This record gives sequence, structure tokens and C-alpha cells, in this order.
Amino acid sequence: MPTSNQPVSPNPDRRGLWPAFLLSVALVVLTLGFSAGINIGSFRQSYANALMSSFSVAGGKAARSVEHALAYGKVLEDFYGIEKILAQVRTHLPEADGVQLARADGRILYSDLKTPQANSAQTLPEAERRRAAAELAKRPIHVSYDVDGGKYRLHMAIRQPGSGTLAGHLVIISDKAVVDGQVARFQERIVTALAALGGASVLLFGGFLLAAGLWGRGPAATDKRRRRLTLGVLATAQILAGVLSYQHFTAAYIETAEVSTKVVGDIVHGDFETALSRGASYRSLSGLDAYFAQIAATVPHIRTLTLDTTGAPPEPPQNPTLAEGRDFDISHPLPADPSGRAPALTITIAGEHITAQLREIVLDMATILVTSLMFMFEFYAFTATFSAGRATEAAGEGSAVAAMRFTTFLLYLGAFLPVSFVPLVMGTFSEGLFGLTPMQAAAAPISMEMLCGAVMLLIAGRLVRAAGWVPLALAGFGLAGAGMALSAWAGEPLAFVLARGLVGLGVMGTLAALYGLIDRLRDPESRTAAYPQMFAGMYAGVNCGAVVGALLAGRIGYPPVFLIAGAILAAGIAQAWLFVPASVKTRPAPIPALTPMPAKARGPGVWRPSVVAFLLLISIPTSACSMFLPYFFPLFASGLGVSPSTIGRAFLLNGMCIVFLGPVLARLARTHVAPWLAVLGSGLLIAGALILFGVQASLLVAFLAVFLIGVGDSFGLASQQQYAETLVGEAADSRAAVRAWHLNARKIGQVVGPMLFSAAAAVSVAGVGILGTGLILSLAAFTAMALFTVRRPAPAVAS
Amino acid sequence: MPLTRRTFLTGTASLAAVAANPRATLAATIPAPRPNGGRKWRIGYAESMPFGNYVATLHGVALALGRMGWLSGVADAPYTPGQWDSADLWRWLAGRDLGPHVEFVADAYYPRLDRNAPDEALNRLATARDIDLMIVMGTIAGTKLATDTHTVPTLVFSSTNPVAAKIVASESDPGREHVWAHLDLTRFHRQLRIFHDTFRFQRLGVAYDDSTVGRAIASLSDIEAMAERLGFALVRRHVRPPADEADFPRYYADLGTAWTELSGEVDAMYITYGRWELDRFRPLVQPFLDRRIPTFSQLGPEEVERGALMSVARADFAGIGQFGAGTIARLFGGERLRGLPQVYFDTPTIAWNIATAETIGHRIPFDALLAADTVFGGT
Repeated sequence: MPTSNQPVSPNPDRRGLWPAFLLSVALVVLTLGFSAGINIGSFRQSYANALMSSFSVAGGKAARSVEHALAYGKVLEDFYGIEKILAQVRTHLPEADGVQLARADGRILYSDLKTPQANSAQTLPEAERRRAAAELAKRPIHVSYDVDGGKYRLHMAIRQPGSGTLAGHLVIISDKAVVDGQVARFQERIVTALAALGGASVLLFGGFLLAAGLWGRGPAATDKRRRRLTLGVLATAQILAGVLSYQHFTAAYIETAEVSTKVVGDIVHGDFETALSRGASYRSLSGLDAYFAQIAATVPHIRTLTLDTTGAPPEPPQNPTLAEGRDFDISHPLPADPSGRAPALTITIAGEHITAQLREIVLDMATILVTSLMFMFEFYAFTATFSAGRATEAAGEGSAVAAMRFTTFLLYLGAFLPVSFVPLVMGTFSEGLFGLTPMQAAAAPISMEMLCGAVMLLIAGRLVRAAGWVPLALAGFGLAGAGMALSAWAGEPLAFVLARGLVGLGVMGTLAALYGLIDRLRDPESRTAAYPQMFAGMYAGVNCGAVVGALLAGRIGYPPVFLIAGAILAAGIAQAWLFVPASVKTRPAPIPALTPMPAKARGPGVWRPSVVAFLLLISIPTSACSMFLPYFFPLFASGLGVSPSTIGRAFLLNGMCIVFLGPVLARLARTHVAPWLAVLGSGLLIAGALILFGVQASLLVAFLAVFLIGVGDSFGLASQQQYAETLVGEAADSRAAVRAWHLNARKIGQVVGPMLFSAAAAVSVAGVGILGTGLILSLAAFTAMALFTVRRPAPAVAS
Repeated sequence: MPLTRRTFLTGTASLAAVAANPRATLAATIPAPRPNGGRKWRIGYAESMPFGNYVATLHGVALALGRMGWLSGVADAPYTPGQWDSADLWRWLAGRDLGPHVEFVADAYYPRLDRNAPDEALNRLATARDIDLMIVMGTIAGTKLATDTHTVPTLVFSSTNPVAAKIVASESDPGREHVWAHLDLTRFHRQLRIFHDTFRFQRLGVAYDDSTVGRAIASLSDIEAMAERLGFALVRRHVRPPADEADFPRYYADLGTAWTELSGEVDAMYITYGRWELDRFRPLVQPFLDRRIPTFSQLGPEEVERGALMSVARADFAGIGQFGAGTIARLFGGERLRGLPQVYFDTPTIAWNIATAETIGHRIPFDALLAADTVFGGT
């Protein structure tokens, strides 16, 4: 029974082994290439951030020196002695290109860069200034990468004493070469390992082919083993890449932490040297605790700095290392004062911080690994299904579902490639958008995309009926691809917003068309099973797109990522055209998809009170509450100061629930539970998640809430659709219409959700719990209605 | 070439002025040099008395005019930091051909207006009309030459508080078409705030000449305003300045008495501008050291070097030189003097005397020691 993407028994003869072998090799090459690329990209990004953090030790010290002088009445515009402060940064960071000091409005006041021409810049690029100012309001440093110049730019805030307002930026500029060396070592290691693994895989496949040829095993058994072998090789490769990545990054992190520890020692040594050269003695110094605390605050892995005045010799060396993740002291000699007194600086390393960082690395690597596995699995499932042809009608429907899942994957892979930076693009334009504030302008492209998507959903049913699902799917891919290309070339904000609207139209057009494809499946079981497959492909695409897009954007800039997204969407046209079985493409629809609302297509059952109540009590509230993840969680987590990668992991967690749990839970719900009960269970999970968070708001609980919502949505999305259809009986038009209403109601929920969360959060995080309680009330009303409806089954209305 | 403080200052008219006066924009760039009809622009000079800041400011203005192209060959002008006598510098400037645009008039040099009457200068300005601009240094000279008896543009520098001294009407409007003065009226507010933040004193000693000019030189109105704002009491002594050279012994005696008395009555001492020679400063300030009273010099590092505990004062004269030269260039370029910005915040320098700190038992905070530009008294 082909209920999922499980490949159907292939029946190949031995002549089919060669193409299968080549397909397996191609799959290995593709996924190993993806794995290497994503790991190298991730390593580059993470290492660059760690390195810039270590640079921020010296930069932060300089920024605090400037702030201290501002308190004495100095002004940035005419800062006596600034050259000395900047020169100290250069001394501590010889590998950096240099340092600049700019006013908060972006005007560069002082510039000390290795390349003389670089000093001629008068202002910071406006987009960079705006973004840095926004980021520095939330965290101590901001790192940007200038793609054109190949420079990393580390921004640190200089704040006005007293008011704390941003007075200026200290910017440390480094060539990408400071990162390239370490990345090249990692690249060489991982590429060598993966190439070796790839070679071994080819040999394995070759041996397998040879064995199959010699001993003539049964074709079905042979194909099954080949597929298992392929999957095993691919998974091993991904895991090996993850392990290598972890080892290398751990070593690189420890190295940067050691460097920053040494820089701290050097800075303190230099400062004491300065003070002593001015006639001070250790006995005459005061305020050292505050000085040490300020420095330690810039280096999280340093717990304390103390002056050991006992004169006792340092403890016998035990050669502890940061990698051990435990507290230990490092003694650093200090210069002698005029009386010959020379205490030592004791740097106490905070072991738990190192441990926490190493744990973060594990989680980051796990994120990358899971993303790689998702990518691999989508390609594997697709190629496995199509590697052996299809003979039967049922097999054709199975391959149609597999093709639909892969099409959805491609659609969302392309659509979500730029998702991490679409709002940021608005900040790159020199002109504004109709006088909107930067925050409002940043939301405009997303709003336009959603609005156009909603409009497309409204008219998609009519389009599918008029032209068929295939033209709409292809046109949708085309529109979205064109929108991406225009996004890349847009030179002004309005053009960009309109381009995003085109993307919204295209993506939703294709999605609606894929619903149309599902409608053409004759086997009801296949049809019902297709939804979880679609959602699985959707979330795999979302996760892979978001992760890969963010990595690519950091490396090649925004416009090329838009173009790559456009290319992926264009590839979707070929995929949808070539791989969806012809029988499904040309088959007339037994159930017209996404029928428009009014007139006769509305169907007699759509306006039933039970349908309206379902939309009001379930479709809108659950989708609104599900906006906890995309809207509320990033704001909450960002407010706690957690890294973007941690926020990304929440999306991944949610996606994994949909991708991996979705098909299983949906099947179980379909076969063992009444639809209304599945809807209720899904809603209770979402409501419980919000109430739990409202009662005990923390990052851990937020993750738990994300998980629960993910589990709820994993089977709830399909269950809601299934239940909605039962409300209007078997009438084809009515079922299509109610599905369209349901989808649009969910869209409304997605629009309302952020407003509800922002209003609730204005009270406190407990407001999120109130939303959960509200959903409970909705569910209670729904339950009453469902029980009533069960007793009065819907009459069948012929279409 | 790195963009340093100096090159930054050279590259713009005066950002600080822009910040202080929104009407002055960066677009108000320095005009290209141009002749004064068929002849050069002729500049005269007057000062209250020999004083290091006056010579340094004049030198700074001349160098900046050179950088702007209004003068040539001025980079070699003789000047030694700390130099008090402006006569040598003026002779050098007036004795050379410094290009086709500007000349310093040898006999338009009026020193010691604290003792000399300004009549000669005023008559010349009112009648001869052979001077296009007067550079005036100090409050006393400023009050004497910034009058309505002439209409020659008069630029007053190094005046503690030109508004209190009635040289100009306000920060935004000089009040007269031909008078302009450099203003930094918050300078002493900043000094007193920093001093008070550091020592939290309740009774601050201050000695000054209780005349209009004397109160203006000490910027007494600023001190009183800060006393009210920060909540400390002023303990005052009045010391009449020397009438002439022969009066100096009386002056030093009065000053010594005043400071000795104050050292027994106050928590901290704000040493305002005075007429003493720097060599005489150390014994004068000694009573405060003996009684462990912290002292703050209104003047700057020169007095910190000689025993005052600390000061936050003008770092150098590059900034004010640039600002003054920019004003002259814009005036010669045809702009209305009354419309040009007067406010320029001098870049401060932080100075401590670590030996004095040790003597009075004050441990300078480590951060403050690192932030200091100059620390005196070290071994």
C-alpha cells in the first residue's frame, strides 16, 4: 500500500544496475558536496565570530578608555591622545588591518589602517551603520562582512557616560585572510575525509554491482540492498563530517580563547607598565577591582582577575588547558614598581563557561548535521522512488506523492533561502519607503509577500479549475523565480517590496497547485497521506533554505543568494514537469482544488454553522498561536542575548517534528483516532505549550513550547484539513471549498498571531499564557460543537 | 596616511563648531584665498599681557591659515611650547612675505593692554583704516578693543568668559557687526563637575579679583552656577591684581595670605586664572599640600606640573588655531562676521600630579591614571 514516499518494489533486471549505480554515486557526490559546503560555511562563520570576539577584548578596552575620557569632558570630534589608544589596539592585534573611530552618525573621525587608501573613507556605509547601531543596542559587539572588499568589520559601541547613548563606533577591520588560514586547514581535512569516504562508497557500490552481476541475486532484494547501502553511506558521511567539524571547531575555539586570555594578560601588563612609568607604585594604586571587573566583563571565559601581592611563587605547573572545562588559574608576571615590588596577575578561567561554549558547539554541529541529513533524505527519498520506474497505477500515485514532496521541498528551499535577511535588505537602501520608520520598512517586504500569498490563495482555486494545476505550479515557480531575480536587482525599496510580492504570489500559487495535485489522487488513502508528506517536504525545505541561505549570505552577499534562490525555483519547473507521473498531470480532477469562495462553488455546506465555528474556533486560533515560533520566540530569545544559531535551532526543532514525526503521527491519528479528537489533541498541545511558557518563562521552557507546538502541528495540520472535509460530507465542491476557507482562515491567523503576541507581551510573558488559555476556551467550544456534529452527520451533497 | 586627530581637524572647518551650532554646516567649507581688492589683507594684534596661551593661539592660527592656503612659508614660524612672549613671533610674521593674500602689520602690535591704554590702537582703527582685522588675546584686551569706536573686525581669543566680560552678547550673537569672540562657556562647568565627582567636596575655595574683569577672568558666574547645581558652598577671598611691576610683591603677599587662609577653611581649592608667574606657584600652593587639600587648576597642566593636584584643560592649540583661521578665511571670503559661529569646544587634556596626590594622601583611581594625558611628579 503506497502511503508514503516509500519506494515501490522496482523489479529491475540486472541491466538496470548500472544506472542505479551511477545514480547512487551521483547522490553520494551531491550530498557529500552539500555536507562539505555547509560544514565549511558554518565553520567559517563560527570561527570568524569567535575570532572577532577575541579581537573585541583589545577593542573593548580601547572603547572603555575612550568612554572614560569622555567622562572627563573630551569629545570624539577632537580627542587629544586618540592616536595612542588606537595604536594600542594595533599593537595587540597585529593581524588586523587596523582600527577606525566613527561618530554615531557614521562620520569617520580617526582611521589607522594598514592600507593608506583605506584611510580616505569619510563615513561608514549607511546600511552598515544602521545595522550596527541596532545590534549594538542589544549586544556588545557586531560583526559584519564586506563581501566586495573581503573585510570583517567588528563594531563596538562607545557610549556617552551617564546617558549611555551611543556616541560612536570603534571599528576593527580585518582582512578575510585572518579567517581563511584556519578555514583552509579545516577545508583540507574535511574534503580529504569526505573524498576518501566518497571513494570508498564508489568502491562499495562497484563491489555491490559486481556481486549482483556474478551471483545474480533477485532484483528486488538487490535494489533494496543498494538503497540501504546508499542511505548508510550518506548518513555515515554526514555524521563523519559533523564529528570532524566538531573536533576542528573545538580546537579553533580553544585557540581563540587562549589568544584572548593572552591579550588580556598583555593589556593588563601594558596598563600597569604605563601607570608605573608615570610614577605610581602598586601601593598607591586604587580602583583596581573596578578596573579588573571591567576587563573580565569583556571576556566571558575569564571569571576574575586579581593581583597576587603575596609574592609567593606561582603554583607548580599542572598544565591545565581551557579544553578541560574546569576552573583554574593562570599567572601572568607584571612589571616591578620603583620599590622593586612585582606582584603577579592571576587570571581565573571560568570552567563552566568553556563547557557551555563547547556544548553550544555540539548543538551547532548537531543543527548542521540534522540539516544535512534532511537535505540528504529528501534527495535520497526522491531518487530512490524514481530509480526503478513505475508500472502500476498505484505505484504512479506513490511516485506522484514522492514527486509532490520533493517539489514542495524545492519550492520552500528556494523560497526560504533569503528568509534570514529579507528584512535586512531594506536597510541597505539609501532612501526610505513612504516615510516609514526603519522598523516598519523592514516589515514591508514580508507583509507584501504574505498579502500577495493570501490573495493568490483566494484566486488559486479558480485558476486551477480554469487552467489545471500543472500550469499554475509552473507559473508559480516562474513567478517566484522572477521575484527572486528582481529582488536581487532591485535598486530601491519599493521595487524590492514589489519583487517580494511577486515571490509571495508565486510560492502560494505553486503550493495551491500542489494541493490540486493531491486532489487528483484517486486513492483516498494516498490523498490523505499526501498532506504529511507535503508538510514534511515543506519544513525540510524551510530548514535547509534558512540555514544554507544564511551561510551563503555571509559569504557572497544578498543579491547572489536571491539569484541562487531563483535558480532553485526555476529548477522546480523542470522537476514538476519531468517527474510528476504523466497520468496524474493529465488526469481530470475528481475534486476541484481550492475552489473560490463565492457563488456555486461555495457549496451548500460551507456556510454551515459547524464549518464557520470550526474556522473561528480552530483554524484561526491555532495558526495564530503557532506564530509563537516565527514571531515571539526570536524576540524573546534575542532579548535574553542568545545567539542567532540558538534561535535557528528552535526552528530546526519545530521542523524536525513536522518532517519526522508528522508522517508517523498523522498516520496514527488517521487510523486510530477520530478526526475531531486529533484536532482537539493537537490544539491542547499548542495551548499547553503557551500556558507552560506563560507560567514559567525561560529559554528552556520556550524550547519545550516550540517542541510541543511542533508536535501539535505535525499531525494537527493534516487532521484539521481532514476534519474540515468531514463537515461538508462527500460533496467534491464543498470539500474543496472548505479546504480553501480553512487555508485562508489559517492565513488570517498568521496575520493576527503577531498582533496578539505583541499585545500579550506588552503585559508580560504571562500574557502568552493568557493566549493559551484563550485557545483552551476555543477548544472547549469546539469540542461541544464536534460532539453535536458527530451526532448529526453531514448530508452528502452531490457536486 | 592615517586619519589622525590633526588631519581630521585640517580636513574640516570645525566639526565641533558644527555640532554646537546647527546653522553652521559642513558645507560651510573654507573659501579659497582671495585678495583684498588690489592689496593684501592687513592684520593687527593686541594682547592683555605676556601669556603662553596667547602666543600658542596666534601660532596655531597662523599655521592653520598656511594650511588653508592663505599664507605660505609660515610653517617655520618660531615658536616654543610654553613661550610667553609674542613679540618674537609677531616680528617674524610681519618681517616676511607670506604670500600674496595676507600680511601681518609690524607696527599694529599692541602688547600689555593690562597696563597700557588702548587709545593708540583705537584711534588707528577708527581713523587710519589701514587694518582689516584685529586679533585680540585675553579678556582685558578684549574689553578694551571690542568697542563701538571703530568698525574694524575684531576677533577675541583666550577670553575666559567673553559674555560675562560683555565683549559679546551671547553664544549665538556677538551683538555687534564687527566683534567676534571664541566661546567655550561650558569649559569651567566641565572642570568643576569632574573635580566635584572626584572629591565630593562641600566647601570649595576660590580667590579672585572682585572687579568686572576679574570676575569674568575667573568665570565666577560659572563657578557660582555649578556651586548651586552641585550643592557645595563657595569660600571666597578677593585678591586685587598687581597695578604694575612694582605692585607684584604686594600681590604675592595678598595671594599667599588668601590661599593660606583658605587652606584652613575648605575641602577643596579651585585655582582660577591669576597673574602670578609660574615659578612662584609652588610655594603659593604649598599650604594646600600641607593641609592635604586637593587643588584643581583652571589654567591647566602648567600649574599641575608645579604642584596643583589636577586639571582638565586645553590640550593644544591646533583645534582653536584651525577654528580661528577658518573664521578669518570666511570673513575675508566675504561672509558676515556676526553670522559666523563663535563656539568651539577645546579638546581637553587630563593632567594629574602623582606626587601631590601622594602628599595629600589621595590614591588616584587606576582608570583615571590610565586616562590621564599627562602625569607629573613621577620618579
